[in-house]
Amino acid sequence: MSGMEDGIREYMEFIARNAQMAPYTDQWWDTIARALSFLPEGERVVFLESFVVFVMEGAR
Amino acid sequence: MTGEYIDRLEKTRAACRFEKISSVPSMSSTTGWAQFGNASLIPENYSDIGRLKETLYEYSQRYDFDCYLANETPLGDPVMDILGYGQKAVDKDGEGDDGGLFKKNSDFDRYIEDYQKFINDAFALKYPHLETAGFAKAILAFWEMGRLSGEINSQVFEGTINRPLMCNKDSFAQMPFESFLAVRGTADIVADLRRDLEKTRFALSARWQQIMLSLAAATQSMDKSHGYVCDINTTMKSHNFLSEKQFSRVYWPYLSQTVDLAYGNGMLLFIFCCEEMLRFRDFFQDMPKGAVVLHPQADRILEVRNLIPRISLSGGFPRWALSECPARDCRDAAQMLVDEMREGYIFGIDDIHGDSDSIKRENLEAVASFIDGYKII
Repeated sequence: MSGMEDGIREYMEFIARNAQMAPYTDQWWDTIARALSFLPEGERVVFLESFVVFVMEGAR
Repeated sequence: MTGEYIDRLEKTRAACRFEKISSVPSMSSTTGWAQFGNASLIPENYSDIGRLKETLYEYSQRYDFDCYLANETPLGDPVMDILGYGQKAVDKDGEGDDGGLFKKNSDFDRYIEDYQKFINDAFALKYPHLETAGFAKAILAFWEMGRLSGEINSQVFEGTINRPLMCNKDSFAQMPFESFLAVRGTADIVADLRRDLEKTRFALSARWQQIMLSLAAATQSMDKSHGYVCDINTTMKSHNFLSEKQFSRVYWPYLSQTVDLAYGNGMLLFIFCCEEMLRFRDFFQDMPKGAVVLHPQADRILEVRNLIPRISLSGGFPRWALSECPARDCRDAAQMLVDEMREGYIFGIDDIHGDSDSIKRENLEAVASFIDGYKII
């Protein structure tokens, strides 16, 4: 769990560093994906798929 | 999680698999129903997790259902508060918008050829005013929603309440037609189905590949120690404006694959059906017995049982009766339902996500108390 907490902290730092980056560009998506790399690959896939379903396709 | 948790889990799973049982298990929804009888837990207070935990516990102690169906939607409010619920993205000649995010004809091809790129661009269309920090905060809020859900599961359901949940939220098999409809929009998808069914099927296959990646990862990493009643779940929402022929081409292939995936791995699939489905009953006839639990929210459950006898069912007790009938009538109706259904059935309310404000507490107590002690053998 501490690995996850470290990952969340790093993610927060990423937000601070990249707050001015223009959103929704390819580079921006790559950066977002890299910032979530603290998650194991399988969990990252599930997490991002769940996020898409929730915010783009209607809450389940 | 103690022996009682395991006992209730095994009892419910046995019912789902049509095994001989001495009493019918019961199920309730969580957040919507837990506020019933507790005026302090209004939706605005869902963010008070301590109060939510206490209320779930009080609710479980009052009615003692065997398992619970989690409704996490209220926990997601902070995510949508940040995102702003999206804006109407495409205005078709001033005729309003039905949610479609395809701006050009070429978007259809992009959806098929590179779904990930399409959905990335669609984010910008749906949430155009969001900046980097806002989007990242939304992801964090979504992370927090999952964390809270896990915390409630481990501390409350596996802890103080000591009862299993019906489903693992991560192993949700979104049907690709539901996905495609959400970004294509109703008017356009109706035209697609008439004019270019094959292209629509390519789009659904493209989305299905993404869904299967996630589902495979979720089922592989599933922590069996949590012990959900069902291992995979899905929701049928938009099937009802399809003809049977269209259903066979754009909906059933993926639902059928999900059934096969569950059955092939010794898992149970839970299907929550928001709209009527008996028109499509022929598709469900050959399902392996005891592999699927269907919750028909809109069809009469005894009719579903008679017409599709091979699938387990949940729900069926009319929610309106809890508002409008005397407690004695509710109890008698529950007995009639259980006597008719017997194996392959989990007792519950049909419209479990509906408004519970008008429900009479004494009615729910009469029904829950009866189910808890009633032996069918």
